[in-house]
Amino acid sequence: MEQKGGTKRLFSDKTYYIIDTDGLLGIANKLYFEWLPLNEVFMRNQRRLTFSLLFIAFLQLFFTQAIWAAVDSSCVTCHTNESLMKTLHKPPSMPEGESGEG
Amino acid sequence: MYKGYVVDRDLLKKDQHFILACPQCHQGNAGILKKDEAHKGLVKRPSDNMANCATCHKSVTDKYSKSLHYTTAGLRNGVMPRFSKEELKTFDEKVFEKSCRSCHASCGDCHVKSPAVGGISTGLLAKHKFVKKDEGKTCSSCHGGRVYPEYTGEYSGAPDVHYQKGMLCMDCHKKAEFHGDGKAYESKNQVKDRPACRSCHKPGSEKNPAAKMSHEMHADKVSCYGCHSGAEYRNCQQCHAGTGATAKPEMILGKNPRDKKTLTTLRLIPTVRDTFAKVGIKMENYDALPNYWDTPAHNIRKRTDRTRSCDTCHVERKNFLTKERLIKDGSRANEGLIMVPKPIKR
Repeated sequence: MEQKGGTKRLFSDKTYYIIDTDGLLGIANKLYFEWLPLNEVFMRNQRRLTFSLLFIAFLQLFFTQAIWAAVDSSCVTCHTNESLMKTLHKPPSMPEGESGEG
Repeated sequence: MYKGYVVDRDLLKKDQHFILACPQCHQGNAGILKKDEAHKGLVKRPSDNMANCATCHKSVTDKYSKSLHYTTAGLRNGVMPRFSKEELKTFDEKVFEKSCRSCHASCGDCHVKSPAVGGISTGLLAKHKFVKKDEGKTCSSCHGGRVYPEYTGEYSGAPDVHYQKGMLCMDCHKKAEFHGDGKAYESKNQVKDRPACRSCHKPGSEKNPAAKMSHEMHADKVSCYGCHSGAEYRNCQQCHAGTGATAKPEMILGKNPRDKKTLTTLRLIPTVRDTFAKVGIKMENYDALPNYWDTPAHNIRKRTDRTRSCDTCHVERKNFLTKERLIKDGSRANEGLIMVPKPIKR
């Protein structure tokens, strides 16, 4: 499920999450070493810069890269693949006699 | 059949039910790709524990927990009068909880996955979509021995006219009948607002004068099924715990055991004297109940041999229960269901 700004988030002891953090590191890298000129102005504002990076990471967690485990767990990997299910599924053996309420 | 276990990936993003991961309901081991290990501790039917559904659907689950589809109390209460007190205890422990109770329907059996009959299921109804109804894959599974194939015509070749008009189970059997009203009924006969022919077919609204006259003459004497059941229906017999029953097609007309003033279609109930002998139940009060019960035959036709000619019943007595037709070693109460139609004065 895609997360949008202000959406309530559910937490539980048994809740599973997978968070893709590639984007966070990439952005942090670019921000710190490429986009921001290393001069005295920014050295003085390092605290502000650090806070900004953390804030971006926090936003990313909610708005861009968070992927629910329901989409990427091993359950889904098999159970959304029809050809894989065909190879894994074993037909049940037929019981003897009639059954069921009817 | 493998397709019955394939989930629609698009649903996982759109459906609120998937806001939490699969193990939240199904347990198991989500992080492992090997089938047997991933399925260790798997809960196949999470809605068996209604607390899972009650999180969001409490108003429904509170009522459903007392409904007959969930409690299957009708199965127990239907046979109970045949037992002594001791036998009833044995029945509850060894038969009802282990066998009859397995027929109870969980939320998922109607809304997610086709119920298993004899251990076999056709799987997810719509790739794990939570559907409102799908009679052809749900009702037809549990009621696929008698009612459903009789209704579609698969059993006798003559479908019910309502089926031909495009009606399915829930067109007559409304949601409230399944979800319940919060009251724990003992049998379906106690439930209010059950389907009735007269709900749609009002007496007096007939276009055919002969039909109108016939309805007036037979009112409160013959049920609708007595004239309009269109074909033979399945009658199961000789049921024994652990081995099942046999069946044959028949139409049986006799007195309604619940209202002996009315002639109706009867269905043979397969309980015989030694049905539960394997668990030590002799049924001390076996004769307290008959072996035939009134059945709302789901094979209705407007015109049958009985509607075409009065002689079919009043002269030929076709399909009427007679002493010769009674099952061997049956209940003594069966004879009270035999009805001899009055001759017509011409």
